[in-house]
This record gives sequence, C-alpha cells and structure tokens, in this order.
Amino acid sequence: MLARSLGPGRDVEDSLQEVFLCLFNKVAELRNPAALRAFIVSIAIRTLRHEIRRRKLRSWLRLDGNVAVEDLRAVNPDPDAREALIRFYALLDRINTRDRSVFVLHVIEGMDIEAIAEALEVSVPTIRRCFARARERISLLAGRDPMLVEYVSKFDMGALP
Amino acid sequence: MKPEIKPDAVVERMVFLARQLGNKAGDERRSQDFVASLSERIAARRTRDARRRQVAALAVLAAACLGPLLWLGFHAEHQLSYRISDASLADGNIVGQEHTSVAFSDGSRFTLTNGAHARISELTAHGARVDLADGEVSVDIVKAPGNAWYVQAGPYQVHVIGTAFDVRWRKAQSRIEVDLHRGSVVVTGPRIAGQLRMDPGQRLISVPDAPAVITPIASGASTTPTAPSASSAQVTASDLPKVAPDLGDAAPIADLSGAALERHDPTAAGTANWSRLVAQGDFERVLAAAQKRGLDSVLAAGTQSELAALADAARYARNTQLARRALLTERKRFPGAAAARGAAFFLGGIEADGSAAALGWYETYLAESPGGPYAPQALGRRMMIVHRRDGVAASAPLAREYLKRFAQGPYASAAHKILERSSE
Repeated sequence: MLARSLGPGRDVEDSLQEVFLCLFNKVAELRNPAALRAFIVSIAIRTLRHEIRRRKLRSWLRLDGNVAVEDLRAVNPDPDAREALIRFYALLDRINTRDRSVFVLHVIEGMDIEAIAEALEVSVPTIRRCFARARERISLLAGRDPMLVEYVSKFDMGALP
Repeated sequence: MKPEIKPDAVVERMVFLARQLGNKAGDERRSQDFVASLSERIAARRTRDARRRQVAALAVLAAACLGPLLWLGFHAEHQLSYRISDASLADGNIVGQEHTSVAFSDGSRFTLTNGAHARISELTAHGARVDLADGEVSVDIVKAPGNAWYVQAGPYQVHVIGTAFDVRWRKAQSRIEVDLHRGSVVVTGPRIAGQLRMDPGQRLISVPDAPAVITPIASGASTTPTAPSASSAQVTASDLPKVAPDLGDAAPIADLSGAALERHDPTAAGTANWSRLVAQGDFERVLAAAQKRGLDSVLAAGTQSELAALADAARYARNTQLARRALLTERKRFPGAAAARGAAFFLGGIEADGSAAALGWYETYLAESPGGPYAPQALGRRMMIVHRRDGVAASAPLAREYLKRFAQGPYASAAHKILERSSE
C-alpha cells in the first residue's frame, strides 16, 4: 500500500519500518485484537500522509535527487511506462496531502469512502469532497501532460492489458 | 475527427500501472535485511534520550530557517527575484501604502496605490504572476524575449508582453479597468470572448451586467459602458470599428462580449480556451474552431499558445499531418521560444518510430534544450533508435552519456545493457 501510494522512491521501506515502530509503540492501546488490521492500516495512512508532507518539504528544499526506478524495473520493463509512472506520481505530488491520500486509497487501493473517513478521522462528506476535488485536479493535470497522453495514446481505450 | 484520449483515460491507465507497484515478490535476503534493520531501529529508538530530541528539534528549527534561503539560493540562477519597498503585509498580501513598489531583478516594477492588496503568486525566470485582490497597480515591464508576466484581477487575466499599464480592480463591484500606456497586453475574462489585445492609449472597462468596452484613456471615461459593436473571436482593439454610442465622455470603441462575438461567429471557440479545451480532452472542439477560422489563417497569424494548443489537439486526435504542420510552424514563427524548442521533441514523437526523421528531431531537441523537460526521454529514445539502426557500438557512447546525466532515468536499465554488450 505504501509503495503504491508513495510511488517510486527509495524510502518506502523506511516508511514501512516507521509503521512497525509505531505499531510496537502503540499496540498496547489496541483493546480488540480483531481490529488489528484496521489498526495497522490507520497507522500506515498516518505514516503515508507524514511521508507525503516530508517529500513535499524535501522537494521544496531541493533535497531529493532523481527518483529511483529500481522498483519500477521489476514491475514494468517498458521505459515509457516507467517514465509515465514517474510523471504520474510527480503529478500526484502537486495535489494537497489529504486529497492525494483519499484519491490513492480509494482508486488505487480500492478502500471504501467510509473506511477512509474512519482512518483519517474525518466525515464521509469531507472525504467525498476531497475525492471529487482530487479526481478533477488529477484529471486536469494528467490531460495536460503531453508525455502521459502520448504514452496512453499507444493503448486502445478500454482494453488494458 | 473523433478525440481519442480523454484525461480520464490517462488517469485510468496510470492507476492501472500504479496498482502493480509493490506487488513484486520479496526475496528472503531482503526480508532478513528488513527485519534486522527494523530491530536496530527499535533498539535505537528506545535508547534515544531527551538531549537527542533537543538536538533534533534545534536541527529542524535550523533547517526550517535555512531551508527558504537554501531554496532561494538554488533558484537564484533561474528565477527572477524581487524587492518590496514601503509596504505592509496582511493575510499574505502586500498592502500598498504611499510609495509601495515591487522591483524585480530584470528591472520590471509594480507600483501599488494606497490600500491596494496584491500578492506574487508565481515567480519564474521570465516573469511573475501577480494576483491583484483589490485596488490599483501600475505595471512597468521590461520587454524581453519569452516574457511571461500576468496580472490576475478576480476572473480577469492580463497577459503582459512588454509594457506599462495600470490595472484597477474593485473587488466589491467586480469592476476592472486597464489603462495601457505603451506596449501591448492581452486580456481575458468575463464578457471578453477570446483574447483582447489592447493598443497603447486604450482603456478597457468591464463591469457586471454590461458589455466590456474599450475607450481612449484621454476620454477619462470611468462609467458603465453600453452600446456594443461587434468583433471577431481574436480581437485586436485597434482594428475594431468605432461606434456612435451615447456614452458622454466614455465613447466605447468596441463591445467585447461573447454575445457580440456569437452574432458574427456562433461556432467559434474562444482562443483563450483552446489550451483549457485540450486539457479537458475536447480536441475536436479545438480542431473545429481552428478549421472554422481557417487552418492557414491560424497557422499564419495565430498566437503561440494557439499554435501549441492546435498542435496538441491534433497530436492527441492522431491527426499527424496537422500536428506536424502546427509544430513546424510554431518553430518557424517563434524560434527560440521554449515551446518551439519543445516542439522538436514532439515532432520526433510523431515521426515513424525508429526513423531517421525521428532521430533527427530528438538530436535537434537535445541540441537546443540540453536541460529541457523532455531531455531524459529524448536522449533515451535517441539511444534506442541508434541502437536499433546502428548497433551496440554506435549506441554505447549515448548509453554512457545517458547514465552520466540520468543515472536513475527510465532508460537507465537499457543503457546498462548496451554497455554490458559493448564490453563483451
């Protein structure tokens, strides 16, 4: 989930470790063992939002170098697909943290709006607004990116491999 | 012609690719490393003392203080800088006082009148975007190639080329007045269909519930204008016929409302919206609007943004022939402009994959824009084409160059393979 939400980069495993560290520190607060998965997911989402904000800060300060594509090579051998993914996540970096989190969790992770609302501790209508705003913005930015459009134009719509 | 690629389709495809991330099978060694590293971090975290937290807090504070300076340092070579004098700040806005001015490093200057509220929302190497929340600002822009200065007043946008003008924006009345003293500006906004190019000595007045008008500055007009005349979708104020309205001192030269435009050309899409239409995936409408105006006319006299939007629309709609014409024209008519340099890359993309023509365009792009936004892609494609056409030995120098410049780029693995084969 972290890899898909954060996109290509070197620090997904760092974030994963943060999730475990936080889990070990807070697991005593978990009263219902059956809720462990939701507990971990909520920690992961908090870590995710923190990491997105941290990346933005580093990006503003120009502390990040080129994005590593080691992970992407294993996923997709097509250089154009890797480039498109890098550009797509760069595009996501331009969305505010909460909207991005909601979009990623709902569209990429397939989480219900209600579950996201619970994990982020905000109301369902707020999450719906976040999602609508994120989708509109992402769609606009993606449509404006000539590289993404060019890449996607290679495929027949509705016939994803 | 049917549009092929919608933005939603782009998002859908990228989501499909993104879902594959993180699905690779982990190996045992990697898992062990992860657990070992995690154990070390747990131990380290437990032994962390208050002093270390204090040091960290100080480091964060120092980073927060130095960060902006560092950022500015990195951008100093690329971006304009500015100095604000005799102003106060409120809610992130510069609040004009007696002699408030913003002096930019290229010599351009914005002067705010007393009580005016404005903010610099964007700063680039070629200009800035100034959001005028309320009040009046006088603008004096030093003309330079590639200038990109904008004043945003409510829903109105004034695109500055190299000029001196005043903008008065009364937020409460949604009223804008633009006095152009020299040079030229292009204005877009409500009641102005398309783009309005103003000439020196003209004043634009636009208020709600009335058509926007152009009057001479000398008339001192500052009244609600009436009495429209007609114009074309691409308005040049000086070309518009004068009318005989009953405006007293404020004799308008032209009505710029969309309704007036519709009477002349009901199918014309506002040219200011072409880029937006392309972004929304409505390529067909852009192409139809261009054909309505006459493709030759658009190519010969259209603005750079129109040509860029037309080229994009044609490319996305897979009208290769028109895309090629628009891109070539863009390069011919606006040599040196960033978009024209970028056109070389897209020309490479529309030529047959692996062809000499495509290779030539990628080489042209790299020569003209070695640090351009598409340089990693252009160099990677060039490397692959040379590899396919001329073999490993010929492509090895390009592979080395690629890895030197873009070690983490998308063609890095291909470059490594080429170098491995070349050393066999």
